[in-house]
Amino acid sequence: MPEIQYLGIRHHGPGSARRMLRFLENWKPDCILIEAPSESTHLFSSVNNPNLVPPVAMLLYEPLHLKNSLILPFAHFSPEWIAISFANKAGVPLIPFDLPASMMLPLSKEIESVRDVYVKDPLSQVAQHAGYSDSERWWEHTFEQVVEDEEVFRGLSELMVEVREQLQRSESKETLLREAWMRQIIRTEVTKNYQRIAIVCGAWHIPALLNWHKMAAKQDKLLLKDLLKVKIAGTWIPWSYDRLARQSGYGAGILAPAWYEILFDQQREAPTTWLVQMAKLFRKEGIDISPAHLQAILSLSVHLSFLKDKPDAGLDELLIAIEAVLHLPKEVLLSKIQSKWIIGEKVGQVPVDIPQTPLQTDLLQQIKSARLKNEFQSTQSIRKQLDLRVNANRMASLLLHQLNILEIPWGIQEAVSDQVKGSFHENWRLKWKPVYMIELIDKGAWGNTIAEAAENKMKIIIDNAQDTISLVNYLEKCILAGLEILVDQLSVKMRSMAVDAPDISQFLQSLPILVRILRYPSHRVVSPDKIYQWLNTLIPYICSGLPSAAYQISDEPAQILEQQISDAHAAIYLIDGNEFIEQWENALHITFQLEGVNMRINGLVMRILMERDKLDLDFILARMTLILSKGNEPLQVAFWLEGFFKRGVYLLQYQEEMFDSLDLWISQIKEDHFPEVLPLLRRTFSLFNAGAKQEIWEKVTQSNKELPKTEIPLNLNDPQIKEFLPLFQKILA
Amino acid sequence: MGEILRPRAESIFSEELNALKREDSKPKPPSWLLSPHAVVQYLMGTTLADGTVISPKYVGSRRLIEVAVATLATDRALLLVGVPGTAKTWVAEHLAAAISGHSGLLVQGSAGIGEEALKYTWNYARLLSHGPDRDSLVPSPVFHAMEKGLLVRIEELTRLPAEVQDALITVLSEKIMPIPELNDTLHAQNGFNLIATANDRDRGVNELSGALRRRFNMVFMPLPETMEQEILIIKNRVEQSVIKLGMESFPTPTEEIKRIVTIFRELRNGQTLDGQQKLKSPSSTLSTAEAIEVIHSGQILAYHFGNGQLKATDIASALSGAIVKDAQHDLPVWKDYLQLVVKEREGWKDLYRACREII
Repeated sequence: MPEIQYLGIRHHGPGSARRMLRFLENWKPDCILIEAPSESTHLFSSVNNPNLVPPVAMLLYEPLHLKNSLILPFAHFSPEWIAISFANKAGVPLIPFDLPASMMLPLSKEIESVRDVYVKDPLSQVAQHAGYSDSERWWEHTFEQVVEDEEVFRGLSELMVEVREQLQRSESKETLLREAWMRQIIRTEVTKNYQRIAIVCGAWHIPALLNWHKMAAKQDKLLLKDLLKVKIAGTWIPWSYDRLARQSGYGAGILAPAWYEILFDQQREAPTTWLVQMAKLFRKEGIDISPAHLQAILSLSVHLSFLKDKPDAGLDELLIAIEAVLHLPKEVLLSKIQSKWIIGEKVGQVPVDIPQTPLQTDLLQQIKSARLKNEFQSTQSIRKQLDLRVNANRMASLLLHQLNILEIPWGIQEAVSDQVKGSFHENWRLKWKPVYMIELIDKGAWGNTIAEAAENKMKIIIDNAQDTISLVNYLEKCILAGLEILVDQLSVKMRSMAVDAPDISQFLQSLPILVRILRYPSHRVVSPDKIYQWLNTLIPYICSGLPSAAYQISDEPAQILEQQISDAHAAIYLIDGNEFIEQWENALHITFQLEGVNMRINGLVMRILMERDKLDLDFILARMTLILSKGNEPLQVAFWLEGFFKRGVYLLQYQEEMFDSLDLWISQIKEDHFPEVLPLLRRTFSLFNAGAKQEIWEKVTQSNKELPKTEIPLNLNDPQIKEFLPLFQKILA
Repeated sequence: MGEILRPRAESIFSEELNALKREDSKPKPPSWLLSPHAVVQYLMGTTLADGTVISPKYVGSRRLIEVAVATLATDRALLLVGVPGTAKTWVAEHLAAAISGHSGLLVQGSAGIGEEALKYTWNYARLLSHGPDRDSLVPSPVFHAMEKGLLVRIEELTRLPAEVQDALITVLSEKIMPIPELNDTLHAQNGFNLIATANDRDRGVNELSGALRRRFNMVFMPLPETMEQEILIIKNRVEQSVIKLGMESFPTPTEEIKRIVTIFRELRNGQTLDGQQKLKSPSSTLSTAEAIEVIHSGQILAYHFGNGQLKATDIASALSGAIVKDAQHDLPVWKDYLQLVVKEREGWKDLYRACREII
């Protein structure tokens, strides 16, 4: 009978990793059982491949249902990773002894792929008794930070036995099955002439394994008898610290991968190393932090850990100490360092020659059904026109849009040519580069199918969106990529943004895009009602905010606003069954009447209202005379004319009264005023196209109106004039 | 024979302190009466192995007290910051009592005091007759604390003029106080440290210089986190003061305390507790200390002029007074609140009538 050592670990706990490694090195087991599904065996050998750089995850999945998968992430400080690496190097047989994924997956088809070790946090009660707010901290203080004590493993087993007995928690069916399987494997392995077997698994399971020999093998066998089995494939995918952290929903995640990395690499020096790195970041952000500060932080954190009877300061103490010494509120502190120095930004890498990942498999399948095989195999850049009414073409479009979200720009969309007008077509330029495949492998953590990965990636992008216009752009991307499932998330975010920080300029820009989306063919937008909700939210804000947005602004922003109002105006009339027109025209009217609105905008709004028959011609003409009168600042008049006529040259072509009025006005300009006005008029008319200018010119020359006679009394007997008469005669002759 | 109106913390709680000292087995920093661990126990309350009950002096985050105590064990000084009525002075006093056994060394910060209030001054009669020597020197509380290795408190640090504040820099960084008149230097003894409090509502008065700021660890004292905590704090204090005034027969007005805490919290947060109604917030701080005073003055009214039963009419005026600090801004806020919330809430009609009568 071999000797068996149970090495209870916490997944990703750097302290247990170190202790476990030391133990393995000294004890020299000739067989190691490790908590991993039995299909992992062939993946173990990659662990010592220098191109497999953690954080990475072992991915076990159903090749026929790519979405069903089991993910086991590892950091370089994860005990399992270190145990595998040790076994590989020492040539010790390594046996994965957890329930095979082929049986586990059918059990948890509904839930995504998570080991349930800490999900329900059975240790939290123990932690609470010890005065800790959560079990992670308790574990860290109790086991991870005790550096030199291998007895801990035995103490730990005893404690777990105690805890599981006390709690009397009914374990999930999955856990019970897994533990039964583990016992069965132990029973098999002890018969194989090993001397020393080390069992590396989550501490929580140890009580169920310790007494394998006292429990009836028959019963375990019965329990496992009729389990459904599916086909399983496995590979490695890159993982990230961000995903390793508990925030990403992975059950055995940890709160602070970046801190654990330093704790593992530096051990007792970790607080100092961590602080020095953080100080660098702070200085970059302009927060003064001197070595004296660091010393004060260290000293306070050490005293705090003494208060809790801990040998070394942990992340908790360090954060509290930074807060007190630098006088930084906790929220500010966390916002500065959380992503970089607590969670960390590290992303893993996998070698190119590992077995194909589900994403790759899915891509090839999609390419086949979208009939893009030629384009995929070609090294040339190929133009492709897609008719979205054709099924395969529609799939191709979705795939290309989804790949673009994943930052794999295989296809670049181009404008549709004139011959095939209509919204059923898309033009793409396709060029596949081999590097895209590697990038696709890198995206493995986002999901197992292209659509799923694009959806997950988009979710994060939406979460980080800062303004409405990007949200509207994402909305369009989602709809083009068939990710309409995300529209609700977008809507919620948009509404809260609209309330918190309404930005009229962005809302105006959003309108044309939203209207464009509404006008996509019906197979694109499954639920136009949701898009209407966006308009319902944004348009009232636009209408109430428009007058003040145009109030007292200089010409530069006014030019931008002019464009935005014109575009939004054009868009609003394209909405079906339009209940927004009245609101919009009201808002324009208020803007028009408000004293102090920029003249360019005033001109624009006035013309729009006239076109909509909201202002009559006589009123406009009277108003125009007033504006063009001498008392007004010439530059302002020029702005007004530009705003009014820029898109309204037809008024001069076909609106006789307006032409006459402007004509009259120009002809009545007094001599001394004329040189001032001329450049302004030139500026406005230069915006018209040549045809319009020609037509206006013809109108001017055909005009029968006589120019008012200049009545300068001419006295030919004036001696000064007399002097020039001979010269004139000569010229005229 | 008179009785001291308000004895020091170390004498009120001498039994608790002695019991903690007996049970304390953890290492103590030099010159501390208790270990940091026991000091935290003294502030947060516990029951000792020998059965002595240590009453909680501070209801709130344990972490905050731990940071305060740990700071005093380092060579940096402690700055407690918060709005008025968040127990800054109270915590400072108890820290001094537990660590030094002496909470009486106190400088009250005000715009009118000079450097000598932090350093030393002279007994001029003696100075004239004997010339300058240590016996003619009159030490300030800070001087005294340095000499004896004790904790000294400075209340309202930001009310001190900036140049007076600067006198602390040498004391805190070098732990010395030069006495140029005697060509001498006072070296602080082990155990010396300083606890300052500052009100962050009038941070602008004399903001701490960067140089001084660097010598302090800052602990922010929040308003009570939960409704239950706040009610507990008020109940404790109200019960203590009732005993002091000899009104033991007076029942603790739990319902009235709940009502006042509700009003204070709702106005502070700008919405009703159920989150259904948005409210405007008044300019007043509405601290827990003020809630205690509202109850306290109401009790005195009820005890001396009523039938001893605390009624809405007894608290209405103190309540309105606590909320309306600036008639122009706060009065409409308070009126809105009465109209929108108090009037509509079941069982609050009496309070509505009592308050409407006086405003």
